[in-house]
Amino acid sequence: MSRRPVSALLLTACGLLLLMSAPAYAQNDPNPGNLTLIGNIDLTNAYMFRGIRQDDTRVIAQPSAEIDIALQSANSGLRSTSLNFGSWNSLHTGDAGLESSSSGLGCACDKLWYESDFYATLALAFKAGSLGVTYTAYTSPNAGFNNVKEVMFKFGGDDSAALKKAALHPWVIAAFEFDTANGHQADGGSKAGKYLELGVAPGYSAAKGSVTVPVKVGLSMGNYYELNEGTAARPDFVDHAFGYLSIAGIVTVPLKGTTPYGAWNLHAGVEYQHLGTTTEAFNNGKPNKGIVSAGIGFTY
Amino acid sequence: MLSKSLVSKYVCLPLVTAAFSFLLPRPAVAQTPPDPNPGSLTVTSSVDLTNVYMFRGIRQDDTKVMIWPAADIGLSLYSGDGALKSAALDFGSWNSLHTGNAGLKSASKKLWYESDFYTSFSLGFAGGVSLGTTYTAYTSPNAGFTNVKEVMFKLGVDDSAKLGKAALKPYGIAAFEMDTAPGVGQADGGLKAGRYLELGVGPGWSGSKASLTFPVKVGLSMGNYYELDGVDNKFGYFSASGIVAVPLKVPASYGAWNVHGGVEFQQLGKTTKAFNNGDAQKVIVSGGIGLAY
Repeated sequence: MSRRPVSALLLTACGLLLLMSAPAYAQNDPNPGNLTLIGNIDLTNAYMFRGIRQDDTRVIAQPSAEIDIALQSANSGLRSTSLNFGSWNSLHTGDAGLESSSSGLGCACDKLWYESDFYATLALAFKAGSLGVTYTAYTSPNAGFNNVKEVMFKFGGDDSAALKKAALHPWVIAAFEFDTANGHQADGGSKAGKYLELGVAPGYSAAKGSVTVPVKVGLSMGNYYELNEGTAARPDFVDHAFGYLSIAGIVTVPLKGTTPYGAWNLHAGVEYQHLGTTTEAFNNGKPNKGIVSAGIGFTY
Repeated sequence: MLSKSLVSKYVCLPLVTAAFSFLLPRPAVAQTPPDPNPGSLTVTSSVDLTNVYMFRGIRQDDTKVMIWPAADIGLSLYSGDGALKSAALDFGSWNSLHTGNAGLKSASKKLWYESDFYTSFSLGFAGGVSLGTTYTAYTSPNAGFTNVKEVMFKLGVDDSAKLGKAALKPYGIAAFEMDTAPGVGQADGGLKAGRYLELGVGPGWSGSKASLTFPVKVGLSMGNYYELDGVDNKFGYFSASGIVAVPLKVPASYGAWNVHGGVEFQQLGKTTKAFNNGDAQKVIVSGGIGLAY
């Protein structure tokens, strides 16, 4: 139901790494054109979508690919414009996938492919930061959930010039579900949800790797974290504003700098999530979650 | 159930490359824009629309419109001047979205009829000979068919150096279904794993503003590929097509883009005719846009 907790933040880390190796890259850029490829494959023990538990059994593999088209660049004002298309996927070997016939989830047909998302982003970069508008279609090939459609706005602040190594890289996300009849919502609730996320991603970069420590909180601006406090026959959906708090640590290590195959990296992360009333209920009544993930990624 | 549309197969990989080499007007060397992607990764992508989807002669859908988005990443592993000229690894996804009976108007009411993942290892030899080995997982997100797993070998010869404009570019394909059960994991929904043979040629003509290709092929069963009521019929289908591709004038830094269209005629065998509601012929019209970067 979402893009990854770790890999989403890897773009920042990768960006830092690319900047670090900029001199070599400038000399040996394998791809100076206007198209950029980004790919990742991650393994994780738990898949939480904005605090909403999707699966925490066995191993989950999350391959993704994105193509970015640079439309414009300048030295002042609107510094860059790009259009990005991508696919993010979640393959489950446990209850939501290969063991769904015994768990009774989704199609109950033991199919691996729990989620396939398609997204398109228009990204604008300014001196002060960036603004992105993303449409995402969250789909489930093994019928683990109803399709969800969403428009998301993200503003990311660039405070690195002012704060240098103490930069926080703050961001704000506002996302809006639409076309939500018959439970086509992340929470399976009664009304279309409006989601708000506030976060920072301070980090440290060195020659041989980088560390990022993202902290974020997910909130409902309206009906995003609905919980049925009635019965199945007489539902009473109550929206709880606090969704979750997340603190993570991510280490990224580049592999051999930039090659004719692009810039590759290994990365790993640990994330802790503290859940709100609705997300705790979705997590079998447990208010906390630990997530471990690792993978390989490239930018070309 | 098809890893690439006919048009995409003939246009998006080889033809786009050809377009890049032959179709675009050739400015003086000094004016040639720099290669936007001199590295070892190549992206090809296409989106096609069609009125009929036939997989190796087996009708999948012929109602309303189908949309076929596809993307492929190719890794160049080796290139040299010896007997082995090149080695490459490809990963790709091909998809079929149906607005008719197999999609939005099916019981599931879901658009996404097919999603294929494939990986291919190909070798290029001296004399224009190429050998490719491809693993494909054909899956159906809207449960239109059971997953099919296949290994395919393709031997091709680019005879343009010898025959020039009369080159036929012949090829042969042998494909083997695996991990099957009666009615499960097979293109024909038959009792036994199928073995498929395809023989074809792809002559063509390239001009400064467009190219034409005329692929002709025949699909045969080497064993249980076209089963009907427990009987395997050898002849699957015969196909003849005409494809035109026109390069688009976009800045070179975005790669080579084209628009393309094609018409295909298929003469069906006994099994494929039965799958086509008893009609022995099929005409397919398709068109789309492609990118090679």
